[in-house]
Amino acid sequence: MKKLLSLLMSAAMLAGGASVFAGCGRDVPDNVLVVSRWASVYERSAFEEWGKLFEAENPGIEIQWNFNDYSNYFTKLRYDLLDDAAADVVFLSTWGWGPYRDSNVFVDLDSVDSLKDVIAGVNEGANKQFMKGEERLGVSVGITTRRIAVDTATFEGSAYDLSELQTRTSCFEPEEMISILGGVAQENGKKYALKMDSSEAAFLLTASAGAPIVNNATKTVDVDCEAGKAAVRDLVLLFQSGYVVPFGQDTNSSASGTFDEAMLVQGEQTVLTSYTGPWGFSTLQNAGKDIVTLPAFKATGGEDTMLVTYNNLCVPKASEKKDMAYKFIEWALSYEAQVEFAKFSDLPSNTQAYEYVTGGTSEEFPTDLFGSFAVGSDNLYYMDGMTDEFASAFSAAMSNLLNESYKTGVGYYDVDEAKLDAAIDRFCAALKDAEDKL
Amino acid sequence: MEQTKSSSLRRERVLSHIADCWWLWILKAVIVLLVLCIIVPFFWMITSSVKTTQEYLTSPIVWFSRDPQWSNYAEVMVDLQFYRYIINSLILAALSVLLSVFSSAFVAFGFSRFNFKGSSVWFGIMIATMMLPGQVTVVPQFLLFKEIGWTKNFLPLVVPQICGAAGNVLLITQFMKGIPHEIDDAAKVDGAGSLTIFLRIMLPQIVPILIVTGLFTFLGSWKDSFGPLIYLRDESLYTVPLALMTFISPENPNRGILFTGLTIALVPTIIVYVLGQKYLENGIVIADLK
Repeated sequence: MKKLLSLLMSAAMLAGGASVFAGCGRDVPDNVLVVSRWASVYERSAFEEWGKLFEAENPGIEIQWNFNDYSNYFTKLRYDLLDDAAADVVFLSTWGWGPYRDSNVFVDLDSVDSLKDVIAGVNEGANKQFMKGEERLGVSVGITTRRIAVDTATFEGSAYDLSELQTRTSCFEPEEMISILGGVAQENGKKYALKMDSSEAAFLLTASAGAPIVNNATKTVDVDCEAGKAAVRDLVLLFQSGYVVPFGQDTNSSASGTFDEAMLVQGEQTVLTSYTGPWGFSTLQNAGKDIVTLPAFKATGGEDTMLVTYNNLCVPKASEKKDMAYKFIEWALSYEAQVEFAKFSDLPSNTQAYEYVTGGTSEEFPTDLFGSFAVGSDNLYYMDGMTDEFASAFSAAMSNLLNESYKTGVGYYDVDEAKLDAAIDRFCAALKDAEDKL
Repeated sequence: MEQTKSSSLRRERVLSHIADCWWLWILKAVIVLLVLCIIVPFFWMITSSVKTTQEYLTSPIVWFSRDPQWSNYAEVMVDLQFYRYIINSLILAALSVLLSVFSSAFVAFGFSRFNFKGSSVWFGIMIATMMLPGQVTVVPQFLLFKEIGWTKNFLPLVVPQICGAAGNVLLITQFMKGIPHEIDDAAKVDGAGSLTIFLRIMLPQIVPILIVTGLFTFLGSWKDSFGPLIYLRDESLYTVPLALMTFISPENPNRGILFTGLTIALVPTIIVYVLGQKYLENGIVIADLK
């Protein structure tokens, strides 16, 4: 046993030593462009296949993908940038780019002549994101939005026509949502219909009201925004109905309540909100659920709006292959590449490709996942990543607002109006106090 | 009559015995509960490794899969190439164990056998470094390795082990102090130098504690995710914890593979523990006697 142990250890040491020294100073070949992104183990092959299209158009250039899980990706990126060893092209999401807003690590892509045309072809709203003053630190490669995901089995035998709901041309208003989704929940004997991230709901409802209380673009809080306040009132009543449950108070909610698949599979709720895209529903489909999507929700009387976040491509200043990186970005934002991108990842940020994907006439995209995209797609509200400090203040204010009770009865409108209005004023005042943290 | 008397006596004795040892039964029940608290999560992990996604998500919980997906193991090992990460983790752990244990023993030999000036101060400083949280040193250490160009491979994860872990040095020092100095003196009389005494006399004597510290070092290296995350650039060098993190992702349609990966990752640690168990138990006994 001792001899066996010694032999094993010696072999390990030799092998390890060899690999350690083999790894020393191993540089990436000059023709290899390194691109980093977060991806689960099942998503990787889709990105690699997408990258092969670029390689086919650019013989002599190979792409090496560096993947990490989402939660570790940004930690690793910080250390890679500190080491001047980040990838040549870096993906960054809405939530991840905050720390780099004031940094000096990314190239101003507006200074790159070869990218001027493709940047001009990107959605106007997307182009306003990820700017540091006049510098463009990144360019949007895709946008993600929210939809209501429904298990078709919950509508079987229902008084509500699912196909009619799927083909509707407007977003749900809160009262309508309670009526339909609450009705379905009741039919199925379920406690509630939907767990919704309260922070996203707040943004969406106030944005679709036309004048959000928190304006990310101007970094201001408008406490006198009556339309916004009315929308917040809708939100409170939505949650007070009992059929829609606020999930989490975290404004960085990308990993929170939207992935409540277990509740759907277990039948404790009938619908959920989720990110769009095939990957957003893959778990549910693997669990044997037939999932279709419905348009999202909006403020009463408000505009059909899609709440979106976005993913950017950035080029670190330390990259030694900037020309190749710009070529990749130019290709990634092209119409053809964007259409392919939408098949497995986000909605295209390229305007032409976006119109094609959301137009509702394409046979390329599975209608059960993409069919309802047309609704609200003309009015995008970009949810900018907030600072952690403001996010905490927002979360606390929202929590206080929702924890107060206004019900005087069991009906949707049985509320103490004066009490509710006063609480909403306090909510707005709390946000105003935190305005300097935006 | 006699039979009735004797059976009644026996019953009385049994009842009396139970009455005297009731506290033992309570203690046993508590121990069983604690053992269950430890074992049940492992049991859940292993049974979940072959469940379908629906069985994993459903309520009430499903303890045993009705349709076990044994293919999960093939999928994880072959399709997802988990074996690569296991090999990387094993190499890293083996190197860490060898370097840390040997260097710690060397340092401990110095502290326990040589009464040099300031030895207690240095020993105290070494112990004090155990109080430093890792978060304090991670960035300066990273910048140091960046300056010397070591941030692309295993070197920053392995070489610091040569400096020894303070905890390992402490354990081995205390163990060595229990070995009589007469053994060293006898060796010196025969003409042995300090290095010979260390290699030929001391090391064989402290095998149990070396196994113990080796085990701790192995476990620490095996489950370290932060070090590999920030130092390794090449995905082909990634280790088991980094791979498992990608299995956790909410975009994964097959949730069972996380538990499959965890179950597979557990096997080397169990093997190492089983191989070293005898030494572990002996080491504890000898440490007690000393």
